[in-house]
Amino acid sequence: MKPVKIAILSLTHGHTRKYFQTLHDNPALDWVAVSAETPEVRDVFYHYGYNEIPCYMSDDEMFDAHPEIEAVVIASANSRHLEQVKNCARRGIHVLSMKIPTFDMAEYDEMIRVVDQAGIVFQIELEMHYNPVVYRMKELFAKKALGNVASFNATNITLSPVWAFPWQGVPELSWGKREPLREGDPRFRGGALCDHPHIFDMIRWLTGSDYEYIYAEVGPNIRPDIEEEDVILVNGKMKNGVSFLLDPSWSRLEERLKVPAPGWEIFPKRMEVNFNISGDKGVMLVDSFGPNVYHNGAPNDRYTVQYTYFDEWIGLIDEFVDCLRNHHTPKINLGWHRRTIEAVNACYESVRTGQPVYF
Amino acid sequence: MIQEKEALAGLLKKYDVPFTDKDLDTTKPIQPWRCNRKYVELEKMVSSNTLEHPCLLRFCHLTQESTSLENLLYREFDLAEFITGHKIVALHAAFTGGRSGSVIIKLDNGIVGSVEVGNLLPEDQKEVDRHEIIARRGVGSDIVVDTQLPQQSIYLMTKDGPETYKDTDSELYGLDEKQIERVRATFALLKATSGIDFHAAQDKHLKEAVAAALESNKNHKKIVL
Repeated sequence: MKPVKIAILSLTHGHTRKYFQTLHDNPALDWVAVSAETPEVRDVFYHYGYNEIPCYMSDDEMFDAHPEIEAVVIASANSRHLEQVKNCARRGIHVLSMKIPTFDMAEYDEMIRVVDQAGIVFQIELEMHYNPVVYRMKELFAKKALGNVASFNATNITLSPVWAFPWQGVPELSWGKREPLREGDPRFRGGALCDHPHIFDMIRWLTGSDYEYIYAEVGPNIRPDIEEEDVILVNGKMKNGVSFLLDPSWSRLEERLKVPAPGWEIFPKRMEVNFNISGDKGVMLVDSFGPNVYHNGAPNDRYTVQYTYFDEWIGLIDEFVDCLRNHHTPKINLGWHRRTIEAVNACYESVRTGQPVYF
Repeated sequence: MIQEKEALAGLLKKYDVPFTDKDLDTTKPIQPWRCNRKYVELEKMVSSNTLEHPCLLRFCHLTQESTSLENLLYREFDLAEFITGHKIVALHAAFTGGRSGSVIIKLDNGIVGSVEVGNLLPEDQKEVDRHEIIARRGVGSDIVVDTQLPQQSIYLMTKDGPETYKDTDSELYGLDEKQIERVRATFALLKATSGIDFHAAQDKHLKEAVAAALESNKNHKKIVL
């Protein structure tokens, strides 16, 4: 199969660096170039050692210099996605999008139109679908190992990336505009909730059901100096009666590093996606990112989880290549993902009104 | 075995590594656990100086009867050398009934280590292993602090009894940890055949170390390799 000529745009998203090794190693890809938003971002990119990849200071400059580019990973702030998708669609370039295409539903629908008209592949990066522990969960669900599921409780809790990826701390760049959380609250939409759509997607995928209603409550920030929410809890019910509790908080404190590096975490485990699921035949406890290895050595002499199994991006890219070359529709496409984005927005609406939001 | 061969062939094709059918049945000596990611990460802790100046190792590996003590010693001795980057130069062993016991090893840079081994676990029990590295700066381990058993990814508790799962490799989903080690190691060997001589020399050295451990147990003597 002819390798896909691929590039990365912007390099400002927290997941950007996770693509580097896959784009470099996978023979189905030919990594052509990257574009960086600032000289500082470019320097960070070259710090990772991929010096043979040319880095341009604008998307258009890169596209003009490399008309052979067939596909891109859009790795930018959420607020830039529509403009970049339109540019790619105009050029007939396929898109692998970060987990949030946009939170503005009018923009979202415009994106759907643009992508459909151009006939390009548009895959959304929800990497949990390529996690081997999630493969097993899907298999156990398919076998109805728990019988009829009664409750579905999940965490997607991490440190906050706002110091290394500042756009995530700016409401206009993360959620799309400066919208207060609720009357009298000095904080705005755009924080932890916007960073963690995975469990909102996974409950739909695994239960095969849709949201009936959703309720959310924010706590006082554990980082009082950021202007978005950092701890938030969500519960509600699916249309098939399954109750759920979701925790998408930034509830693990971090060192305020400008570039992610060892010692970033203060709490030993910087990121977890865990599930407690109950059904009429029993209970399932799942740690999607465990077990690992552990140490209390350099740089901070703190007990630390050193992640051991982390290869979601391999399967994700394999699917993207397959969709391009064999004209398949990605599992996580704009149509499927729309409801997940609506659910996140419903959480903000619930925070604003203090009541559940019905779908 | 068929499953492993298919998985290996799949990886070789995916990554454009040339191979023949004979390559899939390679009998060349390899130390496959060196491709297990938990040991790769422990090795990185040492080689990247996350742990500075290791002094003591505490290893343990307990299995069912189907695994011989010799095979356990071979694996654990190699892991000690792989993780630290140093060779075993002396050892003293004490076993009981050829089924259980311990070895104290000394490496060429002065690190000492305990290697507990045994194959007395009932057939239906999962293996227990632990690899702890104690350094002047930091302790590294593949076991969570304040626990005794290796963790699993999924615990399923139903009226049919508890079940656990540990799935760690999406490209080789469905294979168990040992199968993944073998497939990844064979893949690495076929991708970079320069490793063949190293593995053969290491195999010879490890067999000598295992023989020395058995002799030490028999004669109640420390053996210098």
